[in-house]
Amino acid sequence: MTQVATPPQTLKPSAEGEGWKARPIRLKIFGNLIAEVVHKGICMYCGACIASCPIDILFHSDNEEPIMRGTCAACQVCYYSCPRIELPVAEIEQRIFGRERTADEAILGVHIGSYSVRAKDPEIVANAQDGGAVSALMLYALEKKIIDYALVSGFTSREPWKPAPKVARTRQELIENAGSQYTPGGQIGGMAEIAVPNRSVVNFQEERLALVGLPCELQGFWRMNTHWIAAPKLGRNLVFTIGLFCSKVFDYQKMMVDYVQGTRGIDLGTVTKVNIKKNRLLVYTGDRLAIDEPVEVLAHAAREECNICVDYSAELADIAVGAIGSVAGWSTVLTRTPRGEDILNGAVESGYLEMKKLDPAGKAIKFLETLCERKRLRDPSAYIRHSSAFARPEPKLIALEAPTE
Amino acid sequence: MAPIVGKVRDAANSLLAYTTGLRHLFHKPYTLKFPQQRYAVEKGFRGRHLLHLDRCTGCGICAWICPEKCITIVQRGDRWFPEYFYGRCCFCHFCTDYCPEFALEETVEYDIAEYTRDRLVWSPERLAKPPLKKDDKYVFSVEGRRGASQVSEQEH
Amino acid sequence: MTTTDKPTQENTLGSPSPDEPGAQTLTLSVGPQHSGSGHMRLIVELDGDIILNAEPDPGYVHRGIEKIIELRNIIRSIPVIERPSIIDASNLNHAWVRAIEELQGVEPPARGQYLRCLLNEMNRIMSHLYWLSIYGVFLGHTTMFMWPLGDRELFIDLAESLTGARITYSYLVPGGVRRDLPQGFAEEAIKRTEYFEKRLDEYENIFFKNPLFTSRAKGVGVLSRQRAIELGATGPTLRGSGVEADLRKDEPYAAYGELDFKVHTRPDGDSYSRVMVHVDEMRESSQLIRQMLKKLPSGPVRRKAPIVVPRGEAYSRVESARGECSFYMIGEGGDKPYRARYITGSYRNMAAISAVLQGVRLADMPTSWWSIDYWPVEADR
Repeated sequence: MTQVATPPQTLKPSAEGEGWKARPIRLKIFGNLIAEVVHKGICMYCGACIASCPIDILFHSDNEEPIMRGTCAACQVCYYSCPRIELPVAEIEQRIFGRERTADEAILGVHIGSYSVRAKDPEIVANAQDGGAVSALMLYALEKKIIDYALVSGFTSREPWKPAPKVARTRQELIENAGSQYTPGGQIGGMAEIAVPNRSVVNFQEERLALVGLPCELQGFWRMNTHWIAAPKLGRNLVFTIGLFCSKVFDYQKMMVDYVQGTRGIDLGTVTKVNIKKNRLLVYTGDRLAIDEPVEVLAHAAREECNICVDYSAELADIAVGAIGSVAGWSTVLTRTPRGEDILNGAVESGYLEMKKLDPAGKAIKFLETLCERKRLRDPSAYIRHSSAFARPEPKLIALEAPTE
Repeated sequence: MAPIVGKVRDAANSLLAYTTGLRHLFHKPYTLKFPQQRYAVEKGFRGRHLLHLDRCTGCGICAWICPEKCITIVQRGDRWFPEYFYGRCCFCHFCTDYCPEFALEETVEYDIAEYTRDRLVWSPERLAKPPLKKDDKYVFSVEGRRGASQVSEQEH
Repeated sequence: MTTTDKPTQENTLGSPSPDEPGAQTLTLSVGPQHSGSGHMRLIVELDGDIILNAEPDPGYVHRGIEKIIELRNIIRSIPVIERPSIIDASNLNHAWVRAIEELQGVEPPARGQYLRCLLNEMNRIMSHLYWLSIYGVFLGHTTMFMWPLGDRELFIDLAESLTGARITYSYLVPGGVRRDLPQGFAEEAIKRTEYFEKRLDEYENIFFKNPLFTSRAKGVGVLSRQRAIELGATGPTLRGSGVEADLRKDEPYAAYGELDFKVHTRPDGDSYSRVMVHVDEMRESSQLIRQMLKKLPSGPVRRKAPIVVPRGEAYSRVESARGECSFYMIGEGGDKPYRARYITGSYRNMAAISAVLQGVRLADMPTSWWSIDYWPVEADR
């Protein structure tokens, strides 16, 4: 990872004041990220680099790309937080689940149970994408004080239907931000924008959070939390993550602005729901179904960055949620960790959700597995490594000479 | 008449001043007999830094943000760690705040006096030693003797 | 410029009176010395015992702060801009972060704003107490030297538990403040402010009603209302001349818009008025601290603010203990400002020194000049 270099003969001592430049090794800067990830067309705009910057000088530009405003300190943290630089999946799964995958978890990833759920609260169901599972689980966790706030994907008032990370602390905020979007929203970047970890270690009441994200965004989060040079302190207070099933996302400009608003002439301010189901694009304005077309019309808007992703069912989440595998109005939920299982069962027992078990060998799960396998055909060799050759090296310490009392 | 009233009032006020002050003659003094008694700082006091060697990545943000540029990043095998020069440190603890790994911590140890300037340069190993504690309270390494806390008995 | 008092008897030393041709006045250099405040010098032209003209000769503590902050990024500059007035550091810090936040478009959360004002008011009390103790010793009242400094420790300890430092806190950063309130702070602060107000009553007894002070300060060093406004004085110097001008009320910033407090003025414009304005302000700050702790909203104390100064210009000003402290910052998109002009309350009050000392006896010079609370380090930067 870092080349071991012999220190130059004239290393200046601390009293001279130039000590921060003293490392004679090739450091990774933000420019390396731009060259190796953004310009190579593999950046999914998850925002992990933005969240991990210790001096907060990275931002999402208007088209969601990471940009820097200010002077880079060459700390290498953003570089090693990026999941598209490298993603040691085995190491990460060891960290999340405590074990490797078994043979029959090869396609769906590590999981404990598979269910079909629907929220019991009618307002959540009315606003939600399918069964309202994400909103209901977050509401359960907020009201039972398992978390202090939820980082969900909602809209800013700047541009209609452009997703942005939002903090939700109340039921109203969850309902406002319910529903799926199909364009990237930089969810992990929101951890720095909104949930500023007060860096002082004294007197800081840290708030526990739960996170909703696409599989790539969760990859970014876990990469940030597992590499020894990245920024693990942002993940300290995470209680659980919810991942969403994802085949691909589309470019905001090309899909929403150019096609929906431009070609089809629908004002984005009136759109209430966007769904892609059974290979059809469905856009609702209020109760009316404004667009019902084959999804091939968006072929030009698909993001090529998604062509190297092989994670369909959010294999790095505590709870994975999606529509595939359930009937209309219900969501499929895969619990992957014991914590995820506890939260789902707790939500059911407390009356937030109704739940049906899904047979692991049944048609629904088989269909889900088919879609996962189809996504596995893509090529992730640019970044996925299955070794843990990147552990923290041991230092060679110098013994203290004079005994101080 | 008015000047006399003014003089009487002035005299009364002077007497009031004296008696108010004299009352304090019988109050307990608040003097601490240094070095046997020391000033107990508050819990959040910003003293010297404590370095967690297992967490530090050598990124150099602490050195970059230090207002007085007192930090040098030095090499220890494959790893790099900060070395502090306490001769210029103003104990603002921006380094502690901006460290991405929580590798730096604030301690309340403020008695870091030395007899020579070069001993004010604290190596990473010296920074990694936690301050002395007894029953979870910070104690000074010298108890009641004169001289700097950091300088051992033999070196005096 | 006329003398206010002709010598009433023949000058036995033989030198002619000032009106005659070839007359001489004595030019006395008061300083350069650190006379309890900071290193400064006054060039005093004396006619016998009366000061005809007193010019401050600033610059002995000039450290080039404005140039230093052009070379450092905005976080590294925070300890530097606090140093001009170490006892009032939080207010200066506040001006700095407000200028940066205006350029960045960042608004700190409500709790952060309240904590900023809390530290500002504690700093105002601390600064005024320090000033009062030096005032006492300038008049020879050593009890008045020890007591305010001792009571200042009450607030220094509070600031220490809140920020970690005793004087220069580096507590305010762009985007909010660095730490939240520790446990038990509110009860302790309320107890201490109540005790402090009782101590102010004791100060009243030993000093403010004491004829040793009143006879020396009343009617001495008068700065008329008109003159104060013309000279651009700010802070307690201006308010002691009857002008009700306080930035916390005129242009409310941070949480001051939601707080209820009075602006204290005194009409006479003499040294006694200025001293009493300081004392009234201390009481008001004490009451404000309790009010703020009661009204403190919950929430985060800090928002993400990058280490960058966007392109543009911003002017920020706050009411520091000595007057209006302001920054005029020009940013060019990097992490350092292109230029930051830094003007403090003492710099603005420098012109008032000559006006106040005109016609005053030399023995009354400390009484008058120190009542302006001119802090040379702050003026010279």
